[in-house]
Amino acid sequence: METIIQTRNLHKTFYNGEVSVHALKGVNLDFREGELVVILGPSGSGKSTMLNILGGMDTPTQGEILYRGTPLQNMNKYELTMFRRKAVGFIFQFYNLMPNLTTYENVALATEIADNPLDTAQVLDEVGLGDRKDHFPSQLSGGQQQRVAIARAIAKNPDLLLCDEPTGALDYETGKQVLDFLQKFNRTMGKTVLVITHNAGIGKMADRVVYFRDGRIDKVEVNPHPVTAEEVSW
Amino acid sequence: MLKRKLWRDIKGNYGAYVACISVLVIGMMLYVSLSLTLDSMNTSIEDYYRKHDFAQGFARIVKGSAGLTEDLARVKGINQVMGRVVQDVMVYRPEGEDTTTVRLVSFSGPDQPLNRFRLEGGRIPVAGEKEIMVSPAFLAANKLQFGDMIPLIIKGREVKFRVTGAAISPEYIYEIPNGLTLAPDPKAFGVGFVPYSTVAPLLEMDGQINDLTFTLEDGNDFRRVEQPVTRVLEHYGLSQLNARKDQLSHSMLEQEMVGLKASASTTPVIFLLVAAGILYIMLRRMVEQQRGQIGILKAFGFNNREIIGHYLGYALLIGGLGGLLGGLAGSWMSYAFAKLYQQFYNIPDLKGQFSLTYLVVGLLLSLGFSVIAGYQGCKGVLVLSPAEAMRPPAPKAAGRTWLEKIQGFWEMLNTQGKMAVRNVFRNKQRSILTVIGIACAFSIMVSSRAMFDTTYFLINFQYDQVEKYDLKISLQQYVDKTQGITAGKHLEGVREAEAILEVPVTISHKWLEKDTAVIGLSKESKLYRLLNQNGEPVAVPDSGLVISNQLAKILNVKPGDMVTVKPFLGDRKERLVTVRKVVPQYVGLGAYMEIDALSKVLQAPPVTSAILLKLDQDKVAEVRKYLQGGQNVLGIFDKTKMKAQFEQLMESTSASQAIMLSFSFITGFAIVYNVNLIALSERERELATLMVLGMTEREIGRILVIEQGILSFVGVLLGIPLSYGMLSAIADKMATDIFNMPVIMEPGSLALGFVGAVLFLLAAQWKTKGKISQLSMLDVLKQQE
Ligand SMILES: Nc1ncnc2c1ncn2[C@@H]1O[C@H](COP(=O)(O)OP(=O)(O)OP(=O)(O)O)[C@@H](O)[C@H]1O
Ligand SMILES: [Mg+2]
Repeated sequence: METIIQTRNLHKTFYNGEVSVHALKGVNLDFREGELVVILGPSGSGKSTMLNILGGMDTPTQGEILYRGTPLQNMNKYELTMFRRKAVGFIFQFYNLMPNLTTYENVALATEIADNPLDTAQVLDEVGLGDRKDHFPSQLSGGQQQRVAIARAIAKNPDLLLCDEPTGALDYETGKQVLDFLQKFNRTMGKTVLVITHNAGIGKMADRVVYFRDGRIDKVEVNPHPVTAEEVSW
Repeated sequence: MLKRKLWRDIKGNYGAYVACISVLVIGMMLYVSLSLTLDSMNTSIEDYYRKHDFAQGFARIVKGSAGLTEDLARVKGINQVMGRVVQDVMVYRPEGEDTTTVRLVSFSGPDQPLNRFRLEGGRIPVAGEKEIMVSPAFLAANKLQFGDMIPLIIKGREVKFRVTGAAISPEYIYEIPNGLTLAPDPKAFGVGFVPYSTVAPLLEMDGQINDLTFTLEDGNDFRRVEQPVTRVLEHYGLSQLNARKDQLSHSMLEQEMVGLKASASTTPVIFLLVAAGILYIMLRRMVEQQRGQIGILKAFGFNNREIIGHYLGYALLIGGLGGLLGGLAGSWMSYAFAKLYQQFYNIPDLKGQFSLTYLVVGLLLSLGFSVIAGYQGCKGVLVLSPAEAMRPPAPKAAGRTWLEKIQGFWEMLNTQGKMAVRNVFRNKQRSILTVIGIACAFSIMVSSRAMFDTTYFLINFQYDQVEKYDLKISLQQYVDKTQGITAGKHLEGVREAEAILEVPVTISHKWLEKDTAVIGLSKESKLYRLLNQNGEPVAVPDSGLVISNQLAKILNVKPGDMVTVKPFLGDRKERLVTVRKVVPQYVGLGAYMEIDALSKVLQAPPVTSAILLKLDQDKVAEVRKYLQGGQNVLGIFDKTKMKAQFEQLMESTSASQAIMLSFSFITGFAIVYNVNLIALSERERELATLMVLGMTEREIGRILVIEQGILSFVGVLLGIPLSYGMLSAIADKMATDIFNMPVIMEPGSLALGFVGAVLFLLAAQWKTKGKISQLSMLDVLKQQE
């Protein structure tokens, strides 16, 4: 399978006045087209930092990052914005919906700026919110809001879907539902999905599991037989 | 501790504070400078009047013996009387350049009882010598020096006067020859003080006078002496008798002061209110945003007083700084105003001033406004319990807006547009205040421009539409009408000549009465036309009066009513005359009649007092030169010149117009910028999310632009009627006998306001753009929701 995004000797240091934090200390990773990767690791090990750089939200201090062979590390703000717009979908622990847009409109906001979006109504049906499309976020439960956020990320039809603790704020059952959508998107559309989580159990559904420790890759496990989201438990 | 928080908050958001303070400074600056100017005008004029014994009554006769002053002094209620010779003469200009008229005013000495002049330089003319004093403005405009000679044409002969000094008098603070002249032109007109013993013989008026001024005994009213004075002077050709309030210079000054007072009491208030609104919005948002912090402070045991005190600290700081800076700037500006006024008024001792009183008053006013607005903004703190405060605020119910019901409109918008529209309705109170603020800024721009338009309209109406002649030759004595016209027609280059007859009268209706002049016009007058509302000519009726709407209002008459007309000339008998028509007029209180009918009222054969001439343009100067010094020529009024000069005057006021424009621009900018900053900080998270989604800064900025654009658009729409309201209020406040301001709103003024609004919107957006790119997605999204 072809490599979609790769990093070479990636370093990230945060400078805050006197103190500096070395969050990434030379990370080499390749992600392949259509892969579902779960990223595990203790708090503060650099997972989010890595994901943000992969998604063009942040830039490395040193090292290379190549998206389909194009280096991202030297891109300016505008080019990175365009990269996010065309290639990346994000899902966070917090839903970050626009409070004054309806479910439908929140998703449409993303599809209107995408090159090759999916049908908004259809995506909403898929995440089971077809009958809630005229509701405002304040009228939805947390799980429903997270599904809107997923729909918003998926509807752009990005080649790279980056999820930072997507189930972090959800109960067990709802969390599993969310994982199910992510897996479906990965399997049916053949898109690359990266999921950061604290639940090792979720690793079972991944093609690969990457372990972070202290800004470095601790180990990478290949999972020859990933299970369905239905079957994972934690 | 809390103090440190205050400074940090201000540092982090200083743009918003600067914007708010600027508006406050503008308001205070206008308040202080206008009030100071008004005050110092008032005191220096009052002082001047008192020290120089400015008369309270003014009478004009044809001729009478100097002993008349004693007769008049015997009238009960009259205190001091002074008789003089007053005569307009022309300066001899062999080249025939500009006409210059000098009003010779005789004096008996530096210690004469009334209207004493004030020597501003040089020396006082010696009795019996052909020496003269003129105003400093006249000296400068005519490039004269002490010792220079001015050739005057007196009784058809050239008489040279030596300029010995410069002097001004309370009677001619506003140095204009008559009510037709709107602004002083020291090159064309000036007052010349000459010893009585010099001028009386030259005018063949030895031992005689033609002008009397008097003061009243304390507590006496002019109206009570009017009748007896008239009786005394009636037989000497009394042509004018008026109280101080109708004295030309005084009434023009009053007019100016009325306008100044109107500005001082309204404009600053608008700016102060806008500043208060901005402050209110700022504090209210701050309190909402810092709920959590407030909760923690409360939990720590800070009480409500301390917390409110903390937030009011911002208001006090803004109010204090705004008041102080505004007060100082206002004092500074009062010097500029004093300079400006001295260009047009001969007021001695008019200076700008630094006034501690106004500084303190301004400071208190500014603090008062700020604290009230601030308290309103942050009183929400009071009702929060610590636990409540630490919870996030109950989400504002987001929802649909009524705009969405408009068919077709909603579908036209993309989602970004929809978001912008809903944002407008998100915080209704803030949106309403924003709209009002923008409407105010817009209206100030529009009305300051419209005032300009109005004045132009007024002048054009009078001098292009109504008065179509080139030269008006006023005669010293009435002449036979046909003879006058024939003489006029025989001048070289004259295309048309018409006779008019100006008669000073008192018109009364029931208990209402007014002194004015009736102008007799020929039926088919082409050079002096009466016009109706639509600018179409109105025929002069065979008999009866046509009066101006302002006069009709004062006398409360309508067409068909009978009024009493009492001329100051001829037999002075009262006559009943029917009002036939009412026409619009903006300058003066006109009354018109058919010229022969008017002669009949005077029981005279058809006569004329002035000839109107329409000439070939290249002959105007020549004719003027030919006529000056003519035996019966009292004065030559060159309309084109007058208009050009007026336009120049208007140019000079364009500076103040530009200042008002920039003030309102700053205000509009401050409002939009502030609201933008607030929206930014309130919606950091949403904006960061949009960035994550891949929206460019430009697209995000556009959402704010659309939102502010809608508010500005509504503000502008609201501003249109508001501008009309403001203009009508100004017109109302400024309406006097001299001016009757119509409310004129040219599309150009509205366009100017519109362009201004677009510009301040864009400027604010441009400043906001920097703030958007400073926004860090990561920092924002890391925070808990
Ligand atoms: N903006 C920042 N400024 C300074 N230090 C930062 C910043 N962002 C992250 N760090 C530091 O970098 C290190 C890695 O942080 P990162 O957020 O990537 O960890 P993480 O693995 O995602 O942890 P968690 O599981 O708790 O989310 C941490 O020590 C963190 O304090
Ligand atoms: Mg993290």
